[in-house]
Amino acid sequence: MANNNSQDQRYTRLEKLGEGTYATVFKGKNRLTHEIVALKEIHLDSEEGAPSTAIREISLMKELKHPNILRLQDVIHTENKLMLVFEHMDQDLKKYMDTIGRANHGALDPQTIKSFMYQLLKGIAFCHDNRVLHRDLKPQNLLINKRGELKLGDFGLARAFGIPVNTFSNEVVTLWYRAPDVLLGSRTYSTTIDIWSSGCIMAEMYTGRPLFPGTTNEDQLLKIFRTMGTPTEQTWPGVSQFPEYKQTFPMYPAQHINTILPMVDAYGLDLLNRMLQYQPHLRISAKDALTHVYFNDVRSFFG
Amino acid sequence: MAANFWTSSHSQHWLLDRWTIVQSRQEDLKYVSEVDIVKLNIWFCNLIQKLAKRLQLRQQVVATAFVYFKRFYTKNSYRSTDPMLVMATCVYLACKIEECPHHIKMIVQETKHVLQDIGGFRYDSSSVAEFEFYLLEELEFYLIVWHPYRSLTHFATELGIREAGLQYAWFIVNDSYRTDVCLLYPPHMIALAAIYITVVLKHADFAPGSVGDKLDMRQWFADLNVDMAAIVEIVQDILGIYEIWGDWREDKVIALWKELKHRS
Repeated sequence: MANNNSQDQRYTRLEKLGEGTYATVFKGKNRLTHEIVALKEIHLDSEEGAPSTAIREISLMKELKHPNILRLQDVIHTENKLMLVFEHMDQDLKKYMDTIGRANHGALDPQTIKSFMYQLLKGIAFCHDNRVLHRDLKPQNLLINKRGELKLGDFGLARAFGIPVNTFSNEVVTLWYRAPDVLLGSRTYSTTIDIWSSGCIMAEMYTGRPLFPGTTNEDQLLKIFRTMGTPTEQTWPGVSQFPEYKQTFPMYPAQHINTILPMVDAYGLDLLNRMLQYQPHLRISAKDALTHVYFNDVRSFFG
Repeated sequence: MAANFWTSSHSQHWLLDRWTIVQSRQEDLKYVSEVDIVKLNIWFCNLIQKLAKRLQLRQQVVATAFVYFKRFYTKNSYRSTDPMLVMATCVYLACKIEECPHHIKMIVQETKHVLQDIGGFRYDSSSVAEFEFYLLEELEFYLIVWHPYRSLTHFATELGIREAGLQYAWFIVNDSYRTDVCLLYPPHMIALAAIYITVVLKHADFAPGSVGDKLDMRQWFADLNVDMAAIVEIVQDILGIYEIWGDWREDKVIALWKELKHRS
């Protein structure tokens, strides 16, 4: 067994960065190289072993190596816990919007947004290409550093969609970034749910406020309807067949997206519009989004 | 999982050579013969399959458990470990990874059931949970395993093999886990070997007008541009297992197991 105390001693634990459902994250320093890392400590249940979410995250992160995906450097196994060693990033997008953008009500400047969106979509395209759905994209899960790099983190809810299963659990994705088909009870969703989340994140970077800050499943749907119009069989064939669809939904007309987001340029609005489509199959793929004209001036920078 | 097998951890860290596998068996080979080890390998796979049947697991999950078990035993000997505990834990972990989680108590209970007439299972949930830790480490936390089933379906569709032929090849893939081929070759090669056997034994029934119907299969394999020598090796490994399986007697294998365990 390779496990021993000396491994645990390879890193000095610095301040706590956050606490999740199954793990606590600390900043850490490699005693030998002085490299700063993020240490995700997973609490183990003596009855159940390693939590499934942790197992899933480890297994996927071991496969996904990409500049826009947080790198899992090592897994350390001590007496009663598992420690995932990730590359360190300065902060998450949520905190960045809260601090840097405070003067601007949390809104970021258009060039930064474009660069972040491009990197976000690159990371998503890589996941989707590798048959992995993230399922929980939100500003808190996007990590950034002083070099302006953005990486996808927290794959605790991600799943490989290559494995044939009957249905997916419909209890994933933080409410605000959750796609309407998922909110309506669809259990056959795919890569398109990550695209919806990306659209919501893009709008939020422009305004500094979440696009659809719902409180419950139904409230979330109504917030979307109020902006995009209540879907009907004409605008979304089959919508009334979803388990959570109600005949009693109030009928809101669609608003023009440029009245809600006047600060977004025409290309940006077009991309947003393609990401925030009601019908999942009409949403643009991450790969196609990367070739959108909106990104013409950053593409050469990232190559 | 990954779209490209060649970049996966399976390809980069868990394709071994025959020499490594032989080396890993040196400890057990002091006590039993090579054929005996093959028999034990088959027996443990059968036990895993039995456990999986009681838990009603999909074949993909069972296959992942087989691979974990085999990977574990490239670093450990049967004699110095308890394969029954390893087996139960491999199934438990495979269920977590393949997203069909079963309660640990259920796994323990069903393992007890499968082993009731052959020495029983003396562990509880916490020993399985504890052992999972050790297993994870021996697997180097590389947990996503590729299987031949997807490629098999793909090739069968391309060729136009009918349902019965596909089923036959599918069973051959299931059986291939009794050999070491999953440790040695990429899954698509194993799928091709299964198709090869199916075709040679004339179990492949092609739909009229399909590629397989119109084309000489020798030509099809030649056009694939894969290492045919490797395919032949896989075929031989699988056919070899059928030979040993032919005069199979579980009581003899159990006696063999006791011998390996207790001989000093």
